[in-house]
Amino acid sequence: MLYKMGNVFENSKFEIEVNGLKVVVIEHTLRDQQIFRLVFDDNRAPLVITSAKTWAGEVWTSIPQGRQKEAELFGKEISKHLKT
Amino acid sequence: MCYYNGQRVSRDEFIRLMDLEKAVMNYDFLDQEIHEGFNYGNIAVLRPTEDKCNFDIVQMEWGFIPSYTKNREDVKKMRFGYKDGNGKWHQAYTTLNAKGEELLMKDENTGREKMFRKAALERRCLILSSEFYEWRHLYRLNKRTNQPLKTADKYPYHIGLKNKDYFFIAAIWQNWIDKDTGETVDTVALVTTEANPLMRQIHNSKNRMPTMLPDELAWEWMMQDLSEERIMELATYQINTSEMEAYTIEKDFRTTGTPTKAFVYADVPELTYEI
Repeated sequence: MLYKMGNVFENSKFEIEVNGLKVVVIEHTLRDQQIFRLVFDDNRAPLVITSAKTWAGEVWTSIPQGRQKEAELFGKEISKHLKT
Repeated sequence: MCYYNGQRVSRDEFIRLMDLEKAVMNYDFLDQEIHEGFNYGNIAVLRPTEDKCNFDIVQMEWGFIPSYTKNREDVKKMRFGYKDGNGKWHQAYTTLNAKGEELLMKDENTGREKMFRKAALERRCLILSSEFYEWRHLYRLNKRTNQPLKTADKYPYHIGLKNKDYFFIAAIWQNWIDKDTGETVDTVALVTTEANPLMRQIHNSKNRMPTMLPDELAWEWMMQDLSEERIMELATYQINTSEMEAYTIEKDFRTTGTPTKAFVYADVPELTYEI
């Protein structure tokens, strides 16, 4: 009894590489908002990030809070990927 | 002034991010692409809003828990079977699926409603899926006697709808409360119907298939007040073979990372679509 379900909520899926680390990036729309779910090949927990409007401009942030540095690092690479 | 992740944001932005955070926390089914029923994990379910004008995507535990089940210990006994004090083994009872033909049944002797009836009348929902997998059982012939062997060779099939990225499966849900801990959880069962001619060839050990509903019927199932007769019609709806496509895949497809890749077995006869 096997069903493929999680992928029906995906908008797109791609892979980026940051400092030798492979990251699968899955874009979802949740509550009409764009989020990216990152799955790493080094066994760390998956990370969800989104862009947020701050007083200093738009930045990437982790959802939930607590992994801001990773959000900024990988978010920057995602921005680059989306522009190419 | 508010801060989110150490970043200074407006109150509106803070509320948006906190709302998103709540949504992300409630969607752990996104971590998994392929859901194995017997893991009794969380899956995404479409459920009507209270006014039935729209629907929400919510997370539910796959495996319907009847309201009379007392606590998690009893849930475990139901799902996995157990040995009682006298050493007698009680078989597991699976509620991952609900047979469409039996949804509205009442006990013939007592007239009491059976497990799924109330949910089928009042709490119908949909499960979204893009494909599913079933195993075809083929029995080789014994070379000496020319009789079929007792043990089947099992070949996995990838099954989906032609030109459709996803499809709706009829389902019913039940909110359950653990009487010991107060834990409350929404649980869901997927509705099944008799296999159509294509699925009879593939799922030939059970001759069942999920009740896949075309868009309009799916909306009707979830949103409208239906007569018992109409509930039965939709619950037992058989999607046409011509709308489906199926092909064999590698036996270890769950670990290869390519669960949609076709794999041809020399000893598996081709499926017949025109019956």
